[in-house]
Amino acid sequence: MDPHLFKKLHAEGLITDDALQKVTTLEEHRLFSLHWELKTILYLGVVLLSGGLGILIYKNIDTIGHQAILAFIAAICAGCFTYCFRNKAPFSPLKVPAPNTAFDYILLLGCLTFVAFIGYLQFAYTVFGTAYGLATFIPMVILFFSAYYFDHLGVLSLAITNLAAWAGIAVTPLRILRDNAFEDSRLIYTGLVLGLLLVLLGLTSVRRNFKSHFEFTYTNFGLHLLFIAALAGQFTQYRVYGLWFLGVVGIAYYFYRYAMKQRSFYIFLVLTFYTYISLSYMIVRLLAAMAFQDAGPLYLGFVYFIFSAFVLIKVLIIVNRKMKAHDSL
Amino acid sequence: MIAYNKTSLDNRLVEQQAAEALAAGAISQEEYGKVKMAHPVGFYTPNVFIRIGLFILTVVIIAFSLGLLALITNASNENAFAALFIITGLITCGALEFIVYNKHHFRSGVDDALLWLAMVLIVSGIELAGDMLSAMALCRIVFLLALFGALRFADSVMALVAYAALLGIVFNTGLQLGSIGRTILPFLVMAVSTGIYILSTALSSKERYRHYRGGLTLLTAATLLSFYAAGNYFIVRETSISLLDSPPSAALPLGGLFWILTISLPFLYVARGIQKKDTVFLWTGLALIAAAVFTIRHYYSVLPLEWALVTGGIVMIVLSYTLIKYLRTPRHGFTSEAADAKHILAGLHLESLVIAETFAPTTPTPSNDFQFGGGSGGGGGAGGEY
Repeated sequence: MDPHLFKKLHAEGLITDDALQKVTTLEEHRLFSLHWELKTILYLGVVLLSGGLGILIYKNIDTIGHQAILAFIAAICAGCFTYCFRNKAPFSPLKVPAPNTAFDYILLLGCLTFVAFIGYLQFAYTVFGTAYGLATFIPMVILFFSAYYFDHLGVLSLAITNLAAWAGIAVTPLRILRDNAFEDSRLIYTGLVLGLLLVLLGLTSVRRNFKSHFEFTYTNFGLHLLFIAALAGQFTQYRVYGLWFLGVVGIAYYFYRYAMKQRSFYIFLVLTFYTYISLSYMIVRLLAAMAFQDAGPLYLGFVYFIFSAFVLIKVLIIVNRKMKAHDSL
Repeated sequence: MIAYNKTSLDNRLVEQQAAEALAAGAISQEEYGKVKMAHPVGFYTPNVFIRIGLFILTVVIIAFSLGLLALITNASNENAFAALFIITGLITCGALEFIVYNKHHFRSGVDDALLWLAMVLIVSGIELAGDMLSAMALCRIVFLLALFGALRFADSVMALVAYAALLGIVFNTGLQLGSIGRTILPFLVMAVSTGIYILSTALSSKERYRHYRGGLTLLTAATLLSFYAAGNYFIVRETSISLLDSPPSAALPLGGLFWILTISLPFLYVARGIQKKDTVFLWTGLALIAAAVFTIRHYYSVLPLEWALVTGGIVMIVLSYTLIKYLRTPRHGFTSEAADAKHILAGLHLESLVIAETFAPTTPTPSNDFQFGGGSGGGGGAGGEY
């Protein structure tokens, strides 16, 4: 805050003497926050340490032995959860702030070591045999329980990715397109069902007012999953791509109403682009189906993209105004 | 010189400051409303997500317009394409001025996209027409165009591009000076970095250039980086091997000096950042400590990787944890608590997404990797249900 500017505003009679006084005192005692710097270093430190320990264990597996490693992981996990149970704030269906800064990280470490423990158990001793589902199902249950019981959004995201992994889909932002083979139609239907389930979970958490701040995380995962599954359906099942397009429009309509209600620019942008991709795919396929003796369809395609982008810009601007107008209400 | 409406730019600064004061609890909601009424901002500046959308769509429009023009004019050789690129670039410039003047767009995504596209189109057009221009000529053209863009539209990215082009000019000048030029090249770059650093901090403190402050801050960070790069042992050595044709086995002249710079500069940056409470120095210094570590490890294997990671990790954890505890009650004007300004991305729960990404579970696939237990499981894995 620039004291000169506020003096000017004061002279214009826009702010009171009291406010000017407050601004000058605040500016004189301004604190330099190292919050993000320190947090970043802490996070990087944890990543480096765990990476280093991982390599160390990997290199010395023969001398250490699986049991010692398992015992070590279990000890960390048990320690973390003991700490969390001792220090947690009483459970409430509403948002519960963490008792201290370290709490969230310790809980996270506990959950991660638990996942690692189960994974290692399966890797070293094939405890679950060929019941691979069980090896992801157990961590998922623990993760969901921890997320709700200790109120942790990060653990909730982990739980959701585990739920998807249990169903056979990778849902983290970088893997959702790379690691999934969408030619398999079963995967598409699983994606649709899972997306729907996540959206419903989000809705229920608000309706029941049970951890309603979890709603965005559920809806966000559900939104992307539904759209990507529907688009994958449109791209891979050639004969009925028109039906899939209708599906995309339906999903878009639902989220459009949601975005308007929540005044979420993010959701609106996301749904616009998924729908635009779907529509453009339709148009390009229709044009390509026309006779290709002359360049007519090609010209039409170019014109379509120019024209549609103009229209979309208008739409985005209008919707932005509309949301802002509601904002001031 | 600035294309945007000056009054609106000024009022925008007032509004930002008032919003900050409101968040800090210094002024009331009512006062904030009064300030906003008295200083109306006539710009169209949408929310950041809408901005991203508008940016992409503008790129789509220009790209397909270019394609359509190429189809209609039946352009086939290089010269035709060069003309097409330059004409489209000029039209884009015109559209940019129109959008800024008549539609009052400011950082709306549309103006950003048009500015960058105009730059790219005109430069590629000139490059095509010039038929293999020399690197020097290209740097000069880019420098002039980007400088113009930075000055007229107060665009930070253009300022950075102009600076990079300037460094390119210095670099090529050094090469043309023969063997003396090659030896003093790092110092030439350091001198230019220092000069631009002094210039940008001086301009930044002047009331007259208030609208350029964002770009100047970025420019300052860029000068700190280029100064370090010019003194970094790895960069100087690799450049002299690959570009200046010195034999890989030859010792780097003044190698000791470059090692001192490589290691000491990051810590000096951090020290200055803390002393002056300057975020730019602090962040650059912190990032460059990592660069210094990588440089050392590239030439000397001080520790096996795993032990380096473990010790580094422990040092970082202990250091940051102690400081967080120590600064919980503010000392010497520092605090470890978050500043009150709320970040727009906080609403996306970015942290939880990062957690999910870093520690993502792999989807279980029954494959032969799971044979460790031996016994009856082997081979049958692929048929198993899960």
